[in-house]
Amino acid sequence: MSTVSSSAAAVSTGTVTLQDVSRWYGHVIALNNVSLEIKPGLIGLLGPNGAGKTTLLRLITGQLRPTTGQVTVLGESAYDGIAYRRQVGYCPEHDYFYDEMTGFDFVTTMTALHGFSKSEARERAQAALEEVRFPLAEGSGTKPISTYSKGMRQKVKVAQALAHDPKLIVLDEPLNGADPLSRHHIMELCKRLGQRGYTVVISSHVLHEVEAVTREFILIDKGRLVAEGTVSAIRDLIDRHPHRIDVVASDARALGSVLVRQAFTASLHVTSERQLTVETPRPDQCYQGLPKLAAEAGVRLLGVSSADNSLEAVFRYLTGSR
Amino acid sequence: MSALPKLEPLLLTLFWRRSVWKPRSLLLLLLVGVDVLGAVFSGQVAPFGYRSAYDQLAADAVFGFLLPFSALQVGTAVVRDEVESGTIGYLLMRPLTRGSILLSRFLGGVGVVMGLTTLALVLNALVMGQAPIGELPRVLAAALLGAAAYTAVFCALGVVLKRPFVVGVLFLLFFELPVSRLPMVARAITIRSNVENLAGVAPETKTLGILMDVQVAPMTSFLVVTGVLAVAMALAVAVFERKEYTPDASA
Repeated sequence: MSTVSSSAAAVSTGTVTLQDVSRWYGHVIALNNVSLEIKPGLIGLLGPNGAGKTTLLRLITGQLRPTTGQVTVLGESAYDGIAYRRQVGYCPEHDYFYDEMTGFDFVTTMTALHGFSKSEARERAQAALEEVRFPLAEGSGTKPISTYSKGMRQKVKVAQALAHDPKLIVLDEPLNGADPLSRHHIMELCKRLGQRGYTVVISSHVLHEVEAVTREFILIDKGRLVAEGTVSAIRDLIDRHPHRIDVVASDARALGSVLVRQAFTASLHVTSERQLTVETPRPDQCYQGLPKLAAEAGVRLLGVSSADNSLEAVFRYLTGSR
Repeated sequence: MSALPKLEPLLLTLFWRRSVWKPRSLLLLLLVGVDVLGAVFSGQVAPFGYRSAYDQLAADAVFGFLLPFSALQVGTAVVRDEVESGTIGYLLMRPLTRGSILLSRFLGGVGVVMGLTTLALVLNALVMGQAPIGELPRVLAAALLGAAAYTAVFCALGVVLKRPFVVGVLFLLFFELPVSRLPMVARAITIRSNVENLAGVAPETKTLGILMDVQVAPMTSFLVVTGVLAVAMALAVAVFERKEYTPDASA
């Protein structure tokens, strides 16, 4: 381990630390000068396809070497360190298996390769498969993986990432292909692990599912770290951007003529006789003032909603991809 | 780190377990069958340029074809199999050095090649009935060294190149096989001729003219083969430790 990473580990309380990390594939930059610290708990790594999520996870799990910068995991250099690997569980995005093996065999083998005896590896494999609700009792554990459905494969991948009880669990799009019930089980499992003090990093582009189980996020886009922190902290970041508020009223044009004179209104679009959209950097003022302004204009307010309350909207704001 | 020494044998047996299910295993067993069929017929004809028909079959069929071809199949797959199936990431994330991962799988490969070669040599001896059984340990020892050297060369190709099989075939067809039958000491630079020399099954030089009358000492052959083995594996480990292997960045 280098002196730099040792000192980084000494000052860091995080499980994972990235310092000025960039990663190039030839002339293409996949990750651009990212610095962040990941602490215990459940963290959602969010970004559109091609944002650099998988590259980031492969750097964290030591599969890739950063072109510049340092990646430290549990006090060791992620690429060169060996001992820390016993404390890392990784579920890849794609279905990489020894297809001729059974699911039980695969998880047992992967666990044994972390240094467990054969009998202990079998016990741990069984427990991990049960934890992800793999249908062991129905005999699926004895069939070759090549015969499994996408959802069953997903469970096997997640189970092999958990079976050796790692401190850091890295799951790359673990919900892909899983049925709704499995998605729920996997997310609840991640939530429990996060609450128990494990560091769980889960990447996804399905925002609402991750939003349902954690408030801690890392947002990346085009290789750049767009934001990190809790949803509220991220929301604070976007207060510089105007929020869109959709208003339904009995006379949109009349209400619009009042709203357009208000200081909180950045822009206003009347979309139909009864609907208008206000863009405002101060949404709280807008929400508070709307009923009074509607009364002044002699307009009946029929509904107020914002498309910007979801994390998806937050993400759109921060990446500028409206 | 106390459990680490237990992991290398696991990797080795994992390689064997996976090898059983590969189509190439069936192909290699078929080649052993063809070799044994050759033994049935070779027992009926007089050898040409060899001390015995067994020597001729060992040199031409086993050391000249089965051993290098099975090493090509197995050696190039030591790393490529895992890269192509995408499972290399699982191995690289285990608490093992990259060098020990490669060496474990290499030893697994040598085991497969040696198993096939031993099967062929022993079956040949049994089928022909005229084999010098007393010399079999020497032949098998030479075969083991040859299996290790060939597998190391093809393993190194598999680590370095994206299409190692094609380069391996060219190496066998345009270097190993023709040069090992060249007159003069030039043939001593091939693995095959040195393995034959160590096994004592090389063609008898006096029947092929004065230019072939260059004998290479067994110790020289031993040094050449072990040298090839050491250099190839050193190269393979050095590259494997530096190279990144991810399913979509495997080049």
